[in-house]
Amino acid sequence: MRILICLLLLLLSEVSLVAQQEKLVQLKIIPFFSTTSASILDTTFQLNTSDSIRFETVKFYVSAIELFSHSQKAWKEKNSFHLIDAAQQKSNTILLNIPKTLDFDSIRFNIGIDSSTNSAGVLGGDLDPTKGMYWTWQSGYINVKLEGTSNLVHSPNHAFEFHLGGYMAPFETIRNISRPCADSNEIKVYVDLKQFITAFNLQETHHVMSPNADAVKLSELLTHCISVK
Amino acid sequence: MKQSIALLVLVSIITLAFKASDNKSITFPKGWPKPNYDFSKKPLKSATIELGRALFYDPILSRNNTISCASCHSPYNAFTHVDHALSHGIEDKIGTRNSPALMNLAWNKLFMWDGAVNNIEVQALAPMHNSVEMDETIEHVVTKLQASTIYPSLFRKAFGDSIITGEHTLKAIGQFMLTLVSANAKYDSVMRHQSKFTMQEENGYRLFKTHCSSCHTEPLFTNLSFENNGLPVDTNLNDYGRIRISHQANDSLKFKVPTLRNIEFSYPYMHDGRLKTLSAVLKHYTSGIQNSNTLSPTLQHPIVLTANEKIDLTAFLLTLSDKSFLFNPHFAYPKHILLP
Ligand code: HEC
Ligand code: HEC
Repeated sequence: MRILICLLLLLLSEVSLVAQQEKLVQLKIIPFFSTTSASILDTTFQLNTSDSIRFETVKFYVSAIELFSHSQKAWKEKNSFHLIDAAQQKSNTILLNIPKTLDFDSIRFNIGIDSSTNSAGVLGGDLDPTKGMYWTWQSGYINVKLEGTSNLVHSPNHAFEFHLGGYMAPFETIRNISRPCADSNEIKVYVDLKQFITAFNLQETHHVMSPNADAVKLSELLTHCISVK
Repeated sequence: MKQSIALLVLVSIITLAFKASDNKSITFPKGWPKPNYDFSKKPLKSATIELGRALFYDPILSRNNTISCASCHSPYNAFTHVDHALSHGIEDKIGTRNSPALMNLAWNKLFMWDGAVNNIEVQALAPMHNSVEMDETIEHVVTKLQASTIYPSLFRKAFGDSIITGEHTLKAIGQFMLTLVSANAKYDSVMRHQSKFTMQEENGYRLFKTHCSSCHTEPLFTNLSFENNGLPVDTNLNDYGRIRISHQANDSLKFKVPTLRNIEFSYPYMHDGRLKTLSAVLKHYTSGIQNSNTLSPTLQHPIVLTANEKIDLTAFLLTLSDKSFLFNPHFAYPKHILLP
C-alpha cells in the first residue's frame, strides 16, 4: 500500500514538473493576398489594374514542425500533422508545447505529407479522408488545395483548381521550409499568395489535379512565398 | 489489503488476456509468405470485421443507396462481378475495367489493375467517389451512417466510440476484406498430402509450372508484380495500365498479375473482361500474344500446347476452386445486422 502511495506521489510530481517546465508558443499560419487585413476567402483582389482573383478554398498541410537552436535540432513536435484551412479560423493557429528552457533561432516544417504517411493506410484527425485532402482514384494526400476564380482563366466559370500533391518519384511535391525566427511566444508564418499566383502564367496553368510536373513546379514556387516573422 | 491487490492483479490479467484474445490475425497455411499487411501493428478485431462486413454489403455507401461493394464483388463469384466485362455501377453506368476477384488481399502490396491504391484501408475511397460506381463522398457517407439506427452502436463496439469518422469507416471495411482468405482448394489439400491430383490435373500442374508460374506464382498464384501479357490495346478504352500511376515508360501496358485462385468463378477475364472463358485465355497465351516493347520476356517465345494439354491445364486450374471460401458464412450477407 505504502509503495502504491509513493508511486502515485512520484507520478503526480512528475506531471507537475513537466507542466512547470513547458512554455507555449503560438505558431500562426497566415495565407494572404496583398494585405493581411482582408480575409483571404471570398474577397476579390486586384492582380493589376484590369485583372482580379478570388479564392474559395485555401487548404494545405503543415507537418513535421521542428525548432532549431544554433543549427542544431532542439525540439520536434510529435505526431505533427496540421491541416490549415482558411475556412476554419481556428486551424490557422498551432500551439507548440516546448520546454521552458529551450531557446530557438529557426523553425523548420514541411508543406505537405511525407511519403511513409502517404502509404500508411487510413489515418484520423487532420489526416482523416473526410477532410477532402485525400485523392480517391489513387492513393495519396493533396498537400495544397487552392481553388477560386479569375477573369484571366478561360475555363467554365473562370475557375482555377490547384490540387498539389504526389509522393512518388519523379513527382514528389512535399517541401521543407527552413527559416530563421526570433525566440518568442508567437511565430508568424506568412504565405504570400499574390507572389505565388503571379510567379507563373495563370492563363496557361489553371488546373493541376494530379501528381505531375506542374504540381512539382508549383509546389516549388510556393516555397519561395513563405516568410516567417 | 493484500487480498485486494491480488484481486486487482487478477482482474487486470484477465482483462489483458481478454483483450489479447480479441486481437485476431488471419490464419493461412504453413509455408505461405508473410502477409504484407502488418497484423502485429494493426491487429484485427471481431467487432470491427463484423462492422466492415455490414458496410461492404450496405448500399448506403452509394449516392442513391442502390449500389453496395457486393454489387460488383459478389461472394459466390469470388467477390467479382460475374458476366459483366466492365463493371456496372450506379444508374447502370459502365466503368472502364473488370472488377477483380477479392481474396488474399493481405498479401497485396498495391491494389487495382494499375496499382493506383497503396493500402487496403484506403481502397474503398476509390469506388465510393467514382462517378460511375457509387458516386458518393466519404464525408456524406459518414453523415448518413451517423444518422442511421444501426451504425453508431456498431462503431462503438468496434472502436469504443459512436462518433463515426472516415478513418473508422474505412478501417472497418479494410478489416473485413483482409479476412477474405482462400487457401482451401483441392490444390491446397494435395499440397498438404491429404488428397491426390488426377493424372490429368497432375499433367496440367506440370504444364502450369513450365508456362505460367513465373507470373502466377504459388501459393498465391500471383507474383504481385505488373506485367504485359501481350493483350492488344483496346482502342476504345485506351487503357495503358501501370504507366498512369508510375509515369515510367517501361510500365506501359502492364497490369497487375491477378491471382488464379477460384478462376472458375471469376469470369470474364483480364482487366477489361475481354475473354469470357478459360479456353479463350489459353488461346490468347498460345496464339494471341501481341508483341510490344514492354511484353514480358517470358512470353516472347510462343507457348505451345496441344489440344489435350490445354484440357489438362484447365483441369489443373479448376483445382484452385475453393468452395469453403465461396460459401463461408462469415463472408456472406450479414442478415442479422442489415435486415430488420
Ligand atoms: C461499380 C462496380 C464496383 C463497386 C460498386 C465496387 N467495386 Fe471494387 N472494384 C471494381 C473495379 C472495376 C475494380 C478494378 C478497378 C481498377 O483496377 O481500376 C475494383 C477493385 C477493387 C479492389 C482491388 C482488388 C485488387 O486485387 O487490386 C478492391 C479491394 C475493391 N475493389 C473493393 C471494393 C470495396 C470495398 C467496395 C465498396 C466500398 C467496392 N470495391 C465497390 C468495381 C467495383
Ligand atoms: C509474364 C507474366 C504472365 C505469364 C507467364 C502468364 N500470365 Fe496470366 N496474366 C498475367 C497478367 C499481367 C494478367 C492480367 C492481364 C490484364 O488483364 O491486362 C494475367 C491474366 C490471366 C488470367 C485472367 C485472370 C483474371 O482474373 O482475369 C488468366 C486466367 C491467366 N492469366 C492464366 C494464365 C495461364 C494459364 C498462364 C500459362 C499458360 C499464364 N496466365 C501465364 C501475367 C502472366
